[in-house]
Amino acid sequence: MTEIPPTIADAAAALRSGELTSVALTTACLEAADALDAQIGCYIERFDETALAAAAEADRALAAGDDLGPLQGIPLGIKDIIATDEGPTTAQSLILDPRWGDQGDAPVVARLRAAGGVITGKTTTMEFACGMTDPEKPFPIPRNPWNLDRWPGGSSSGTGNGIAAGLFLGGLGTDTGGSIRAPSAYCGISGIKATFGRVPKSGCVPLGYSLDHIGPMARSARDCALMLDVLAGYDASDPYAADVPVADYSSGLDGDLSGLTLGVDRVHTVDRAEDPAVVAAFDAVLAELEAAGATVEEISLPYYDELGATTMATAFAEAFAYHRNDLASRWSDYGRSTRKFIARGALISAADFVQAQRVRTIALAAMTEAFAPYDAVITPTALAGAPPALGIELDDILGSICTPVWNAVGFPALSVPMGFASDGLPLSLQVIAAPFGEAVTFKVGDALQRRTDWHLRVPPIAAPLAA
Amino acid sequence: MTAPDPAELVPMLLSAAGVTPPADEVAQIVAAYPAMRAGVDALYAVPDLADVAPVLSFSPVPA
Repeated sequence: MTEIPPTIADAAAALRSGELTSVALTTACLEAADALDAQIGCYIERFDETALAAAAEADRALAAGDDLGPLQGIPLGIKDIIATDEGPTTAQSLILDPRWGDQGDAPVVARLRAAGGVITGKTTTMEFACGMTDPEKPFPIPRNPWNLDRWPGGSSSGTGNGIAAGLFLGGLGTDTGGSIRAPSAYCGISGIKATFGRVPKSGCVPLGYSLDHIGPMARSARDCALMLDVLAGYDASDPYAADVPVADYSSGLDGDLSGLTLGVDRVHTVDRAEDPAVVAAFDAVLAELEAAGATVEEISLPYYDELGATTMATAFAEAFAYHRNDLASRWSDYGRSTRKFIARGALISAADFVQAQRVRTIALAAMTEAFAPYDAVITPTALAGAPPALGIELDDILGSICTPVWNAVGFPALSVPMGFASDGLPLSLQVIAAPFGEAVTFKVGDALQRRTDWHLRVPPIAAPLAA
Repeated sequence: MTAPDPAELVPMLLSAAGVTPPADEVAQIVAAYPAMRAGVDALYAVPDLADVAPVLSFSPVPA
């Protein structure tokens, strides 16, 4: 049986040394899905035939010396709110018109494919990227491979649990309030919400127009950088896309943080954790980053709680504008949690929405000033391990995640594993930088991962399949 | 001024938007409303906003 390398970087090296072929790697990943998907609920649709064809083409090209870069021949999963050529896009909902996906590859998928990526299928999401799992609807229930009774996080649930369980090596998630970073945290992998507009989001079902981001998820920060090297850049099809030069994110990852100053806001984040293991893991990470050369200083982030409320008010209003007609005519076709969540947009007045955008203006200026002395700011991603898979509402966890603030201001935020909670579930560090500062988040995340192996830990149910 | 009763206000706002959930789900939305409203109302207490424009953008040239 072919062993699946832990990271994209490892697999890319093995593909070029002749130790591995993309067909063998892709076959191993599909076999892992055969073994585990019924338990973890990762895929909505698998593309075995086209994936193996793409893998064969990658092998042929590499053998001919046509090297497209490190994603060539790498199995990747795509969250099922992003359009692909192969199959329908459901948004894990009975509501979305199946013809929506007829547009073909979203720009981000086209970029992965042009880089030789092997698209293995569409992964589970919370319905329309919000709400919680509804067992009454005809879709898989995503579960956490570290504990099947727990949630893998959302809304990029299947991309998160699929990477953690070895069903593919990387994938796409989307993030409106934490939907890349929360599943990365709960599943013990890495993921980044880049600067708003850095990655084009056309071809993706919207949730919050001014908050949505598409981004990479993978085991390591380096792998996320390799993916962002391909994903980042302007595309005219997205009116929010930023026409800003793209950095080389994967270069300069040398583990040396000398000269970097990191801000730590404990008051708004880690001091609110109830599990002492979160505090201990966070402090251990600080020590590692200092040992890597960084200077760590206390910081108080401005408008922290107001920005959290701003993200939610904006998301409710923007989502309700998109869904109002369907909520009015097809209420019961939505999942229970989703429909109750989005309907709150009816309770946000137009003035409330505008006021939230005024707060974004002043808070963005204050946050930019607060970040000026620092290369990055670090917080936990979440203040606890994964909650139960079923029987909870989004409100139950909003107070324990440290992610929505960064959607309101659009700053890049990378999540990387930082240990385990008292209940044995993964914990996560969040590294935030000023706009278009993704490179420094990767530098910090990679330096931590050179000194720890949290990102390489494999859930017990997937251990027999891992290298 | 007395704050409106969420049990009356929420169904009215939902109905005005054309959304009519069953009673048990209305009750759950009502229960969540005070916390949401408090968060939104706190945005009006942010100081120094008098001359601040919202982060909305508009161009008369179609994208």
